[in-house]
Amino acid sequence: MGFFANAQVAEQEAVVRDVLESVAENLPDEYDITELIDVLMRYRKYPINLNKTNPEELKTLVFLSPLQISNFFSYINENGKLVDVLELQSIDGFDIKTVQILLPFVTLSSTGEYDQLNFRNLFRLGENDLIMRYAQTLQKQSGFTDLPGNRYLGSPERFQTRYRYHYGSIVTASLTLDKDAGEKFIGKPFDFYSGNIALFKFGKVKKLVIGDYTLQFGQGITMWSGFAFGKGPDVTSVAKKDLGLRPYTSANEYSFLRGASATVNLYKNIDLTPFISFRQLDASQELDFEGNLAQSTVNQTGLHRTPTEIKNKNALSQQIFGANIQYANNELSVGLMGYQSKYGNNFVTQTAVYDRFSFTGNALTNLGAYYNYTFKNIYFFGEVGKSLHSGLAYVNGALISLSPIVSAALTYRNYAKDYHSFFNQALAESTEAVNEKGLYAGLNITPNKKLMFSFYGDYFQSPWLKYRVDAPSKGYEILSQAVYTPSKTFKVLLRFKTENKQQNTDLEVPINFLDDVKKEGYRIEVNWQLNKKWNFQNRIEASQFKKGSARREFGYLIYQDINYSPMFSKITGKIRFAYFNTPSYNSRIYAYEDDVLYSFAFGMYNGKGYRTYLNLKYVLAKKLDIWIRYAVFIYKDVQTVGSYLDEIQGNKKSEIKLQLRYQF
Amino acid sequence: MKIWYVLLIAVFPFDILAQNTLGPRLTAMGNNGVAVSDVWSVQGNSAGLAALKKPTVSINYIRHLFSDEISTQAIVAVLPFKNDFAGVSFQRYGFSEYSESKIGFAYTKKFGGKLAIGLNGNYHQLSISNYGSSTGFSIDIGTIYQLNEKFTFGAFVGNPSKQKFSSTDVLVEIPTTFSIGASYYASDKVLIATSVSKVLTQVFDVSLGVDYKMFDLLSLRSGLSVKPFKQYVGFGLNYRKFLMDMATTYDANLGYAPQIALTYAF
Repeated sequence: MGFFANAQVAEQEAVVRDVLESVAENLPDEYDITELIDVLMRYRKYPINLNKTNPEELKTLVFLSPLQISNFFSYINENGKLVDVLELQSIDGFDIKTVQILLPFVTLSSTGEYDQLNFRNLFRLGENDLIMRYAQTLQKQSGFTDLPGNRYLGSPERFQTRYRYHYGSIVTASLTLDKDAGEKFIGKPFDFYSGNIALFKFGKVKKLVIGDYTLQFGQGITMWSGFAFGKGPDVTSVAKKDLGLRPYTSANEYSFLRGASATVNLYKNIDLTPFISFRQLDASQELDFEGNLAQSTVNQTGLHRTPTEIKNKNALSQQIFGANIQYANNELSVGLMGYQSKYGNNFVTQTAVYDRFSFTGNALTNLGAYYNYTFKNIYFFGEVGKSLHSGLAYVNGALISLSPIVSAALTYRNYAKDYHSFFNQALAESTEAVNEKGLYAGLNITPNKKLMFSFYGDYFQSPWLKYRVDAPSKGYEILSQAVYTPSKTFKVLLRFKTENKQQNTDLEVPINFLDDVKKEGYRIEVNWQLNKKWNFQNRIEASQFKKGSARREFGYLIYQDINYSPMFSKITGKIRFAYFNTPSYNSRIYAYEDDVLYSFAFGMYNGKGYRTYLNLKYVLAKKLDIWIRYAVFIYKDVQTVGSYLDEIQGNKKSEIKLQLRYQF
Repeated sequence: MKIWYVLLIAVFPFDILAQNTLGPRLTAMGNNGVAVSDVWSVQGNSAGLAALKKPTVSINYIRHLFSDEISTQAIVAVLPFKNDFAGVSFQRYGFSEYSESKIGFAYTKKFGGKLAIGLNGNYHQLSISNYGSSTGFSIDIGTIYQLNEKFTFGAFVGNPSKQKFSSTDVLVEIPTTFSIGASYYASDKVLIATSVSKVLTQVFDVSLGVDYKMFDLLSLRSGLSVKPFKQYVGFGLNYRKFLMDMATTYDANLGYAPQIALTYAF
């Protein structure tokens, strides 16, 4: 039995990893994938019952587009319950590939939910999942030496502990403790604590979270905490799938709310989600003219290592209260929301001209309205947001399933330069959806099971100045990708991406003018499976950078991944060997790296040298798993690695990671 | 203001409009005329005429919104005879002080069911007030090969003999262009076209466009081209023998250029 269970777990993880790797390509560089893994692992264990599901549940599956979800429900409405999962193929927009990815996460039989909620069951039937992780950079970074002035006060180890409790899908609880490298154990053992208790499907109360939670509504202009998808090779990802209220389970120290929120069904299809949050944020503050503390920005890193960082910790109080009301049926959903955020101290503008329109004061009221509507084979979506006494921002778009093999996406966005929201994650070229107008058009073509093409073009303008851009600017981005999968064991991917933007010239001139900055990326990737145990991936990626009339820069990365995952083995692992050579930071290359479960990173390959890592998982006992990961960068022709407090003497930077998982 | 246009034109050597208007349908698809059939193929790869079944005439008007005065007007007519096709086109671009016009004759022949070759002869005239006018002559050649119901490939060379205007007062060249392209019917409603083209003095341009026949009456179109980066969008209304197509180009530097065409197929 134990033998079989191990194999099953290994296979579960393999399926989830495949999905993650395919979405990893679409993710922004800083995306925290923890929650995604959580959700998928859970569905792998307890598949979604397609005959009992709702749009919100399907939205949690990253690889389904909003149009597919909407088509799914209109199909059920017309044809009644599904008799066979393969019936999915006859739904508009469900190509064979999507169905294949979807199958491991869905079922048609009821999984036997325990609806009986009592204390005995909570302990007897609840599932617990405890993960402890330790990581450390093995070389000494200069911040840890006895420097005069600024230095890291804590120890170089990183610790993270996460505990999850699930009682079916009706009660969950979570606790996350985190200490970053360089943070001190003062008074309490961890620097960051996050936790919550959540109840689901409790009569009229659909969801209730006490503790840390996230809110995602509409297209992310007004209220979206946590991370959001943006432009990617899957062109449908520009239409955001909002999940409303969710318990927060990530270790990111900024993007969540802390307090309580609930989604209550008011009447038929109308839900109300009131929320309230009290937090202390990090901010570096100075005295303003009247002698009060004031700040211009909030620090989002969550790092508290140096005396300054510790001083800034929790310096700014934030209070939020508001509500969302949403009407949803199969074709149409409309929502309205409003909230006020109040800060302990005033925000003031910086002296820089580009910052002239940023938020000032200590109270901000945001109002927003959003919709999505499915008409035949077109899914329309949009949101408009208004920050009271300042700007307006809106985005509108459509996903069109032109034919079963072609789908198109179009969006137009317009965000005023003085639009303010602290929870703004709408589709944008800049990190924040302000001061931008843009038109995006994309196309996915899947002529057959073996081929897939994606293209998109995005044109954007910034009517006001930006950091390092001393004039209104414009630019565009184009991506094209082809994936060829002739068999289950072989896959080739080709990708080309080009981006043209404007930035201040590097020349010494009295008044900065803008130079065109051109970045291009070329990727060839091959995946092949030797047998059931061995899997290989090779990638070559080249990057090009050219600014103004300066010479073009050319960088590249080559790697070989070897993946060992036999069905019935206690040990599985992955190795990468990479060589990279980029003339400067401008032509740096990012690549997804395999990591211990629930940890996730994009490696940044910058400079010249080698990268290798080994990631092993070992099943210690039936419910006890251990991971060990060793990763190293060896740079050529350098005396030091990193800069300032992270500087290391020598040419090597290596990291070791250990993780233990106990499920009981 | 007008004097500036004239100065601009007089001071720098330049090409006349590298691309003839291809009508709103092909324009909305990212100016993808190499492997797509349309009555406006007369102005591009005339091998595309081989798919026409009836005598067709179309008239086109383009406003270039960077100026109040500049516009393009064009008219084309095509007459099919079994395996041979004859077309004629006239195009005028400019404003009162400056204008480029072109008369073209196209002849296309179909070889079997799959291959067609087309030939264009163009007579160009350029007139600038106070400079007088100049004329030139050019020949284009194009071919289209229909692989199967779904795939069509095309190739086109414009002015391969590098003909110039006769006048030596203004340095104006008739551009030499090369393009190859493919189009793909993803379904009977969806046509995707792409092409790679090069004007001799410029960098390679790649374009991609989609035509989506939503209903029999209405088609939606969109496209983009890379160098320079331009976006295109348009729609077409199809009622019995009449077609009305509208499109606009958006160029970051030149702004919008909306256009309309009315087509009648006899």
